[in-house]
Amino acid sequence: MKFRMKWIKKLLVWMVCFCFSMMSLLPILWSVLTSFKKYIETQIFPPKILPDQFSLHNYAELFKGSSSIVKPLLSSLEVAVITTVIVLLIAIPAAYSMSRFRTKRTHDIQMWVIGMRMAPAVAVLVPYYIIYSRIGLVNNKGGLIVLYVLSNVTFAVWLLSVFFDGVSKEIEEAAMVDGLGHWGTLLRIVIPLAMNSILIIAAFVFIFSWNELIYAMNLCGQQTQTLPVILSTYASDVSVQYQMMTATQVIQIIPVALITLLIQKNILTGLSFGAVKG
Amino acid sequence: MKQKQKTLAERNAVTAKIMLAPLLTVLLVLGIFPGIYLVWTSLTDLQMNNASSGNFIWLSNYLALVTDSSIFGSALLKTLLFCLAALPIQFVLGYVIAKFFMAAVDMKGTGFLRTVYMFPLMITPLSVGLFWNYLLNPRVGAVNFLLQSANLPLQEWLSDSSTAFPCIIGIYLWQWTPYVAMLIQAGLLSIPGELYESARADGAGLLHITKSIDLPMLKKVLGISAILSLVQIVQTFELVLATTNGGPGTSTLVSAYAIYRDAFKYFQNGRACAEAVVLMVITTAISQVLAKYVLKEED
Amino acid sequence: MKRTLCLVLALCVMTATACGGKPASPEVGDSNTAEGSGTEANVDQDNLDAPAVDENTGELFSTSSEQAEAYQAFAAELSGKYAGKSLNIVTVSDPWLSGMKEIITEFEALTGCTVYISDLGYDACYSKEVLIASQKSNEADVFIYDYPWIGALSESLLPLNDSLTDHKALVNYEDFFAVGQAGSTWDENILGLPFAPYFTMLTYNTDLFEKAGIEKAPATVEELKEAAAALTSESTAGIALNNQSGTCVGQAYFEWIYNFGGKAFESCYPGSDDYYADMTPCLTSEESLSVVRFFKDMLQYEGSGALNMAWNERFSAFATGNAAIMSPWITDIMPLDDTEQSLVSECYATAPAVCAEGVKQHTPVGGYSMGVSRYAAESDLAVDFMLWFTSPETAYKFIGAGGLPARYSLIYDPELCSQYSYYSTLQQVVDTSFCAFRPQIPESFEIMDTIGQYIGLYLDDSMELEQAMKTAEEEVTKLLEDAGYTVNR
Repeated sequence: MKFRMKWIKKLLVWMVCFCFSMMSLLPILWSVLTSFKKYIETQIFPPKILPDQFSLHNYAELFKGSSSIVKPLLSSLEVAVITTVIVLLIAIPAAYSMSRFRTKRTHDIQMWVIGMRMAPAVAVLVPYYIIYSRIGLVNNKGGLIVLYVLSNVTFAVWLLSVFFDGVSKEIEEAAMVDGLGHWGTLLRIVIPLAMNSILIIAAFVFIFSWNELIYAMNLCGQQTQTLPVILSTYASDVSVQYQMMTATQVIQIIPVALITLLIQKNILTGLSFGAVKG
Repeated sequence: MKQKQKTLAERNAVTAKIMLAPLLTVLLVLGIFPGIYLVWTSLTDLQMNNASSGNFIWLSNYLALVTDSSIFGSALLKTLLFCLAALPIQFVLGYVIAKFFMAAVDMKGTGFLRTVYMFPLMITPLSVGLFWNYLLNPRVGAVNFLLQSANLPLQEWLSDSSTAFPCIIGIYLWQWTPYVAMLIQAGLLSIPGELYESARADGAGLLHITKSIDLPMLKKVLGISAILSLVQIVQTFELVLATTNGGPGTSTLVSAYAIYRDAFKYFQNGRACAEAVVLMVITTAISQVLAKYVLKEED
Repeated sequence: MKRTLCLVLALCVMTATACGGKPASPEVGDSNTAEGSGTEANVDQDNLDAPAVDENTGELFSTSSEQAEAYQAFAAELSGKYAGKSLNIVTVSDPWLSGMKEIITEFEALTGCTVYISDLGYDACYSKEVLIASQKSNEADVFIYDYPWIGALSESLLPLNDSLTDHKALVNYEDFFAVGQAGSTWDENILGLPFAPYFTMLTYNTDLFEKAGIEKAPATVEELKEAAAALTSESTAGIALNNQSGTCVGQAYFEWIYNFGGKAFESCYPGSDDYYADMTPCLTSEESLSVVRFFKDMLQYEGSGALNMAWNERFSAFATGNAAIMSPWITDIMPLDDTEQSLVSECYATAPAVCAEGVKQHTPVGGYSMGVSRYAAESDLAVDFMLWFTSPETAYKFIGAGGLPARYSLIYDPELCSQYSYYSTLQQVVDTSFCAFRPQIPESFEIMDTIGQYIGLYLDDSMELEQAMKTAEEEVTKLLEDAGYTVNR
């Protein structure tokens, strides 16, 4: 009896989670359905839930010819992946340092770091456009990556230092005694133990660079356009082609969803560092 | 012995600096120029579409923001309202959702559901705005279609000044609550399971667990997420750009949108930079207070 | 744990290499194909020209035999001329762009160059062009710009007067709509060639008109009001107007003010010697107030969503038969013929924009011209591209690919006229049209948005009419004063 109660409770909890996911999913499902429609089908009321025919025409259109979205898609991936890797390389040691060697200045540095995050795009974009156009970095993925690193490294450092605080210091001290230096401890003990948190941060850095529009719009030319720039072209002073826009949106979600699903086995499965701590 | 300890401390200090070096270099090298540019430009009348502009005009831009019945003032209030309305909902909802996902963590399919739940984060905000503008279109939108199917009165949503701003907040919450929920979940993971077990053994209720375990343990994560979300809200303008352009009237005109317009449409760069400085000072002040509270304890 | 770390790292490295490697190779490929097609250009040329050949006469479309000869010579000169070079165009992503891209592949094949097109939304495109111009960057060779942008870009666009004299026969400049010529000229410098002018026209649903017993298109504001009232029903709106606060209704204000017999600024009106000599705003004049009052009066005939109605929603309402009248840009009339985009392809008609009793009709014109950046890396190529693209021969093809007419010869071409019903309206309004209805000065958008915002506040009942327009006038006055225009308080 008790077993059954527990089971029902679990199922209820799962159902609630399912509902939360549906809140996110339903509008996107509508967007998927819209992506198969013709323009005129998207504009009639009451709307038809299913398109007259499931034609892949809109998607085919996206991959056609010189304006195919394959290149922007790859640019987006490239920029987001490289940004994520660089951000982690810079943020992990910095966060470890902030978490372990706490000095008076740590707090100042942390505040300064987060202050950088508050700079609105206009404060960063215009001066960077001026520099980039002088040194020929406009229309260059490297230039974009530099800005993405700048805007993401701050939040990564902040959160990682908090998560590193949670990693048991006893295990580390034992490792130190065994002759591992700080770098060794960081690599062999702290990073594996805080892997879940690092992955979550990595996912967010990836998503933010994946989504970023304002810098990309002004610093990319045709050869380096990222996917958000393509999406932004649907915001014009003419009729919005919702069927094409939603098709692009769906394509924007797919790679990130796949990557998240791939790494999500690592998030929250196995041992969390909290469990080790106890 | 004492000698040795000192060298160890020195060595630690060196390691600490080496580890921080790349970050500080990046921030210094990349951050200093925009900083100087921002402050300098805010003291000039620069208009990038006008070659004869760019004269130093002292604090005129700032004075104009204060003295005029400037649009920016009311836009700042709108942003404040946005924060006050959105942040609590975002955090309560985010916490509840994170708790549920934690409770279901060992069940099949939860991971998949969590990824699905994060989908809104993966779309460019401008495009989210365009799409919700379509869903909320009073004439052809899916939301009014749902209302009609349920025999409820149809709404004007973004075309009515009483509902437009709540709609903008709703769209923001739809996209960014998953962000907070995931950060909170990451924090919940670091709370040892035994704490809950012993609390439950003592017969503590859900509310009590929230108050005595989760809140204190999550304090830092919550504080940081709050600052990050604050920054997120303060910088939200694509949503407005894609849906209402600040209307009806000025009911959805938030300060980030005003700055964006001044900077990239009117090219009143001097004024835009002054506005950006004001906004940054206010946000930094608020986050300082938050951060002090969050980071104080363990020192 | 360690294993997962390795796995993730490996994944990252793999993705990074995969992505890092790929984008590099197409660029190599691109230049190869460009060179390849350059050598083939001579062979293909006849085929490529084929679509423009008039089926009846077997000749290329042209404005005169002299012009046709000049075109042939020009095309022969271009053949393979720019092999290996590249041309960068910054443009808005309006509907004609796909047709333009199609035609540009012919240019690539002909000259051997590679054309890169950065297309952006309207506002984003304007910001990017101004940014490029402000830094004198050679990032773009060709700017495609809307008429109101010309003031902001005037210092960065290359005057074309000399090039046009050199190619007098080919260009046949007088054949461009006079309004297009005026819209692309600044201080007597020709800064661009028009290729996609947008006219506004009254567009109405003939079925709904018939049902309501209205026989002819409204020509005056009063008639329009009556028609809208008669056409409004439970299911359909009498009219769809752009009411969204800010740019949208601000633009609408400028579209209507001249046809209400008013003017927005003291010396800015059709036929004025110098539009910007006296920029005293006239926003509180009786005509001006009646325009705004008219917007509010019409709300009752506009159905739901009226206060957030912008270009997109207006088109959709009309194209689905949910609104009986609209007054859109020509670019929102063109897709009405397409059954995938419209349910009214068989039952719509156009007429000149309405005006108040006793006022001479003026059609607001916006739309796009192309100009060459002063700092272009390839200005010869850019000029040649423009001459080629706007030549009557290519302009004719452009229409077939979904473009718009910018030349008299095109709207009077019998075949095109029979194909596109709105050409007859175009013929009526082309010479009564006005390109500076939105001022073409750098402050244009700020003025438009400021006015639009206060009109928005009035439409939304947050402000009284007089107060709204008075505040708008004060702000615009201050703005213009600060910018150094002559303003009399």
